[in-house]
Amino acid sequence: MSKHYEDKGNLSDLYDEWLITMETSIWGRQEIEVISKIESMGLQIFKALQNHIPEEGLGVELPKIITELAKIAQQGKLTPKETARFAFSFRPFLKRLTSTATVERLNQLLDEVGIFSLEVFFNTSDSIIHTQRQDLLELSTPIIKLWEGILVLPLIGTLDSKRAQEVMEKLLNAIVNYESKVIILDITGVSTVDTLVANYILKTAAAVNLLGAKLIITGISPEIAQTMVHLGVELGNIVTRAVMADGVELALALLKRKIVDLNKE
Amino acid sequence: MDKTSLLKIGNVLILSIEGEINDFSVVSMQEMLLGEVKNTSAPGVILNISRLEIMDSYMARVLSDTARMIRLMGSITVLVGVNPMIALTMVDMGLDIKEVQTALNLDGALEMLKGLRLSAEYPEESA
Amino acid sequence: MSRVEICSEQDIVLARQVARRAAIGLGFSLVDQTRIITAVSELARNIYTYAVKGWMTVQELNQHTGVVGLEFLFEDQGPGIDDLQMALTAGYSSGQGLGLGLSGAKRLMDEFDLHSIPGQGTIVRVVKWTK
Repeated sequence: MSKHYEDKGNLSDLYDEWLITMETSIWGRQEIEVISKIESMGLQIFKALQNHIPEEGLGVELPKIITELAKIAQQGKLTPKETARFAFSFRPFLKRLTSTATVERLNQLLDEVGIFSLEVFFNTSDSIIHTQRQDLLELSTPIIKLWEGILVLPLIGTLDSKRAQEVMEKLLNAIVNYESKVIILDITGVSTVDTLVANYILKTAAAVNLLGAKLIITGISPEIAQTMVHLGVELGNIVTRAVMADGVELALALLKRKIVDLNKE
Repeated sequence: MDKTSLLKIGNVLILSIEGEINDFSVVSMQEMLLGEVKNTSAPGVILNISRLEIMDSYMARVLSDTARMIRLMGSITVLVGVNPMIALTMVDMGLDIKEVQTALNLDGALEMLKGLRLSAEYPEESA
Repeated sequence: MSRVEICSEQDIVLARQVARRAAIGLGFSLVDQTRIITAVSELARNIYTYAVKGWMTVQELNQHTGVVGLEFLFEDQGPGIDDLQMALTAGYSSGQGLGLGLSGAKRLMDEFDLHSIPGQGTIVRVVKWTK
């Protein structure tokens, strides 16, 4: 079959041949929808390569198509390797295009297309990671208004400096927005309390004081207590409690309130 | 002078700092404030800094100096309106405003003044 | 790139406004904006207090990874700093202020460089990068 296509054929012949080569490579595992989308993109690329070759760079058409492809890839349908392979699948057909550009230029263009496709793929990944990170932050640091003037922030997971910074900002803004005099930071869910976490706690307490509120740390387990002493971690004047309930009792006392058993009255 | 505004609630003075304080205006601000403290025998002064865009070491010095002057005249200072961004920056810098406690809002400040005033009456309080 | 001459207290305010506009322009977070403006305020005031006259220059920086940042240069021909180690220690002051200007600015920014020759002048360079 291939001998028949040695001369420069028209576009639809090239496209059909391309389809056949693709069938055996990247779409083995794809869904019908995805396949038809990629197939039509293939045709657009052929057209772009034939008709719209800019002197330099990628022009307007090709980046548009590749960005579309990256969107599909991002939905988990294509791996980076498959994306790049798609881009380079046009290589054998370049010298048979009836294009005004030279074959060298077309090859160079295809290289640029391949690189661009990976770039777009990773940029989209980055922004997805960023969004997911934000979502995760929201989920893992809920701020609960326990009572008038008392906020509780259960901290869960590991604390790196970036997350610590974000949590601190969220905490301080919440104090101002809710006008809370006391905020209980519960660290039961924090896996390790090292000097980094301790410094973050110290900073947070200082900032909370500056706002005119008070910070209580709860959830200090015996293990954490031991680790902190061994590491020489100093929490200074910050009030701490082992269990959140104790922290709540203290917070209420600070607001001149207490919980009473009505039966005993 | 539109950089500060002075109000009275009961016998407590509230000074809101609105604009830029500089070497020139700080003296007249302090003079005006201390004069009022003397005339009204105000037991407490609330400094409202909710309009300040940043707190640098200069401003921190101005506030703590002012609080020290107020204390010498027998009154007490409470700070109100610290913005979270400012609190974070101050902590980053290791900045502190000596002589001054902070309250979240006006109510808190008034309550605090009451409490501080009471404890000031006891000889155990260190100067 | 902008340049602000600093010789009056009003210029400190101007320097802050220029810094704010630049920071907002690069999309810095609110808290980073506050850090930048505060550092600028400290360093500009140092010039006003000790050197009487100087300049602030602002410039955008670009890393090849695409990260952008703001660079501030504070230059003056003032008396210079005699003891650098001391000056960078929090609490040091040879004049007014709490003496936290330099060390405060250093803690607020990502990069901090200082060159000073007593009797000739001082240059301070600070940079903050967007994350």
